[in-house]
Amino acid sequence: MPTSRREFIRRSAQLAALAALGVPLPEGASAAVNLPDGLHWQKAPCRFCGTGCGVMVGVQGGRVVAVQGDPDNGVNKGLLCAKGYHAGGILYGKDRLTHPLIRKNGVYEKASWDEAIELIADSIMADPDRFSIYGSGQWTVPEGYQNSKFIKAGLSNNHLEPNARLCMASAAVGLISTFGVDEPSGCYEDLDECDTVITWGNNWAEMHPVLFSRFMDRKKALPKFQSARMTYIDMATRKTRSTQSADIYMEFVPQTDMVIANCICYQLLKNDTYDKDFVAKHTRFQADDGSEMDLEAFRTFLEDYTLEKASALSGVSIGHLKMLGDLFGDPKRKVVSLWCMGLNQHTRGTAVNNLVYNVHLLAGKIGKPGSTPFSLTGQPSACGTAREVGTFAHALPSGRLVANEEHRKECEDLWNAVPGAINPKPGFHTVQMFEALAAGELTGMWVQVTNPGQSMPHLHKNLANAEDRFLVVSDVYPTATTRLAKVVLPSALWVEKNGVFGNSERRTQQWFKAVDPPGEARDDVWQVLAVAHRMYEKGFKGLRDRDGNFLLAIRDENGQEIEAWKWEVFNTVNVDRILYNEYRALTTKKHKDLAPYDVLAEHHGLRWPVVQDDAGIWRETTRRFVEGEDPYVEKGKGIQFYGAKAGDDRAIIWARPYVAPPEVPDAEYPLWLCTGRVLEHWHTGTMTQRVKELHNAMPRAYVEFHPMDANELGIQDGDTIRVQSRRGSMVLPAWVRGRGMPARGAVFVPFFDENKLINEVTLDAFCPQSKQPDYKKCAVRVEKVG
Amino acid sequence: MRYLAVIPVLCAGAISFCLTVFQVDAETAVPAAASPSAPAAVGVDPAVAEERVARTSRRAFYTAPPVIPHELFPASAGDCLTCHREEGIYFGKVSSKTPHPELVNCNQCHLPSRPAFAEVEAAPAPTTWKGLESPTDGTRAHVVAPPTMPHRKLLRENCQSCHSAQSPFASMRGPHPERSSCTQCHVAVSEYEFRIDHSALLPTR
Amino acid sequence: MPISSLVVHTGEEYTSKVRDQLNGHPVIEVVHVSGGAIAIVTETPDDSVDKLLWKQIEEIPGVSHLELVYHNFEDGKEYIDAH
Repeated sequence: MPTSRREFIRRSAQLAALAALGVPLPEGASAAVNLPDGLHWQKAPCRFCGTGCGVMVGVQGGRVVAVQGDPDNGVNKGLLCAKGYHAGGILYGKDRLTHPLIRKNGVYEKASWDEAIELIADSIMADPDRFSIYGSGQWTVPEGYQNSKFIKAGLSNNHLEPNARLCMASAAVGLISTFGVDEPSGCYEDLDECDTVITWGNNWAEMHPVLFSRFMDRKKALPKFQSARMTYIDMATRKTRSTQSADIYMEFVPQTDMVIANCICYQLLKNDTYDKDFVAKHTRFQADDGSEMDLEAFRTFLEDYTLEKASALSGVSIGHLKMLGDLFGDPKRKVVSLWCMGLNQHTRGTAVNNLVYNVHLLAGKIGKPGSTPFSLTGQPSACGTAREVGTFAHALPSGRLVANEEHRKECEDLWNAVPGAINPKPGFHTVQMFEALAAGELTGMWVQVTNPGQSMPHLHKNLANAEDRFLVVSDVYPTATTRLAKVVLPSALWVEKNGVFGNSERRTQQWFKAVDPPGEARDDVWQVLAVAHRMYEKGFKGLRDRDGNFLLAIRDENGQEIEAWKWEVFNTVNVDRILYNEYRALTTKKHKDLAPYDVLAEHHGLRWPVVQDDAGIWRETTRRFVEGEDPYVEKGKGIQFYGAKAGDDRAIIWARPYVAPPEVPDAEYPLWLCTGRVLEHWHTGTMTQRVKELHNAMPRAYVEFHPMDANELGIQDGDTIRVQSRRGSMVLPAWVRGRGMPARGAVFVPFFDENKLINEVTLDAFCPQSKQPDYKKCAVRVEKVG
Repeated sequence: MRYLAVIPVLCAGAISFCLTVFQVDAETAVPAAASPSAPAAVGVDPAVAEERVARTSRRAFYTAPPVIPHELFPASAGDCLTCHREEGIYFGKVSSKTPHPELVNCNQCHLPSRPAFAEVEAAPAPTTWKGLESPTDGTRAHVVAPPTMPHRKLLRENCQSCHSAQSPFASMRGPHPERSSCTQCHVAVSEYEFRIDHSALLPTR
Repeated sequence: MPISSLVVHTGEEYTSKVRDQLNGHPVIEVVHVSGGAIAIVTETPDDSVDKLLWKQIEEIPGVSHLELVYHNFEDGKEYIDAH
């Protein structure tokens, strides 16, 4: 202890200097007088959308007590949105599932894990060819990877699908058909460099707010004369919060986004403002049927999309169409195109994705800082798990296909599966899968991390008879789906388990478990592992590898099997690390190289391909296909679309004609219905509706009208309205001057509210290539019922 | 009386100093030089306690973005800045100056406090969530040291936003409004700035 | 009687030389060296000497800049002595 005031001051000076150097202070040197007791912080990616913000989770006394933005994460640099800040609350809903439940004589009874696992193992073994797993883009990478192994090599039936089929399939097939490989080549930094943003049917102010403000904050900070040059154009069918900040709003007739894109291409060729050098070097043309085409033939194809014709079809003025053509034709403009469900949930989803790439390829606005077409993602790991791990009925990890013999062999070899274990025939895609379940072609389904009982289109058709099938639902809360289940398993959620997510910009992010799950809730990885091992114990052949050992064995670094199917053992090992590192071996084939787990643990996300440089440092790739940024681009190439299937390093410009939607308003059903999300709630709201602040701000769904339509129909705010389609109906309160404003002749309903299942009304027609249904347009009529 | 203070030199070092954080180990931390100096009055004074309750009710946890305590709601990005760019009095109420006027999409983080639809106002909170509680005061290195900031600096760089002499919450008002360079004496605390070494967590789950 | 602490930033190759020079100074105490940064405590008769001293330190070859982290500027020697 200092003996005098002078010494005390000297001591204080010393300590301050030490602290300034970051030297740990001697014990007892400083006072934590009022710091919250035992509070510590851990990094994690946000649980919600595909933006993939980094959060810091504040943990105290074994509970999450606070969430803040991670300043070291390049996605959000410390900022979050209302959902992100309140993400901690999703763990603590009063009705968390804490015990396995088994429905017996119509009543759910508490069961032990052992009983539940036994029942599931027996039921799968009774009919393994007709059992399926349906998950989501919220599966962590290890969860998706293990499920893939279990279904593809274990049950050999390929009936594995993620809800990403309803969300990202068109984006994925769009990218693959244009560039040969999936996932955007650009990055969020492009939003810091661009001068123009165009959203194609996307309300990013509410759905991807951190990205919206990343652009808008920069724009608003500029002096007027500069900020005026930065243009944000909102193309949509409904005015939203994004529109309110847009410089120009272009309202188009639903589905004519295809027309607008083609019209821009028409102008680029007609005005001779396309990037001739880029087009000659890096692209080629294909007709809708896949046959080769030359520039002249493409020019002829575009004759259907002159300004006049396009304006007549789309409802967008010639002036606005011209403005788009001029923007893309201006070589100085740096343009980012953004879209999400507007283009993906589209009966021509793949084609319209291709069309946006056409525009950017013709204009040469790709692979340059500030210029990129960027497909946004709705789920935290739709890219990382669904698309990269390939948890689709036709896919194998990292861009491989079940139909490809070499791809099957590579997986079988890595997994030490019996040769031929993987079935070359793709399984059912999502809509088929539910139709098959309804028809009895599938007898069982295990639903994980998603809520199809609310989110499938045309619900009463697609979920018919689900109650009579062997439906297992792993979830954290009672949902519209658990109501139908035979077995309900309580799962660990977000930071209650280890995990790895992959976001929209190819960024892989890892986190460690921060708190224990409640009651007997357990990790999904463990649940599948335990069931699979029980089947193996019971002699199920599919789960034996070449040497007769357990196919899904978790092995330590010396190859020794760990008894991870026992919960008490699972809890002592980082199974995620083992599964992830195993999966990593498959990621190099298509240049999607991921960083090793331990490297990932030290970083706040790394964008693939992540390749070790000569100095041994793991380097991420900001822009793919760009020399100097992407290690797989050869020297001197500048831009190299090395994913091209033809091996010519060229991206394909597709001649995709406009195709009318399958259902349009008519005399009987005179209005368009569009569904979507709101800022406060995420997807079916099972998590966010349990957070007081979010629930309070947006407590229920509504049907939104254009004020003039409402006036004509005699509808006022709060009136009770029945929204009726050919498939079903839903009763909702009207909101006339609400948050958004649909076009004349259209209504909008959010889908988060489980008491107002708007998907009873929606159409399940889907894109022929991607099989993704269209939730954004169908015909309805409305009537006041109170 | 002018006494102990920690001041940065006006040079590049100033910035790095401001970012300097004390590595405080909450478990072993014992005041070395002096006894803790938490002002006993804070948290006991009923008026202060009342204010704390009011402020707590406006957010999910300490350091969460507060909800909007009034009816008006912005139409487009930047609208809130009409009243909140600078401190002012509108409709008889003090509008705090935003500490981050560069962020224009206000309702990205700040939610309305009143339900969008009146009939569900009484909906109970379906949760057992218990957010981080406000600490009573910043820590002090010793009895006469200026207290540290008991919250994170990011998004709260402008101290005057909350600690101005006009703050509707008396306990929030800074005791020396004539001083303008707060971070000169009041430093941040690492626990709130989240620069944590994650690699230490690696070997176990 | 101002007491201050400072971090002296140096090029790494100069650190030990600078440290020795600082150590040799009657009113400077070297507290810690870490990389190119040297933490010191100084005690001077009054503020004007401080300014002179900082200037001197900055002029030592190899020193890139100084960072003041702590400065006690109480008035009067008596106060300190009395406590």
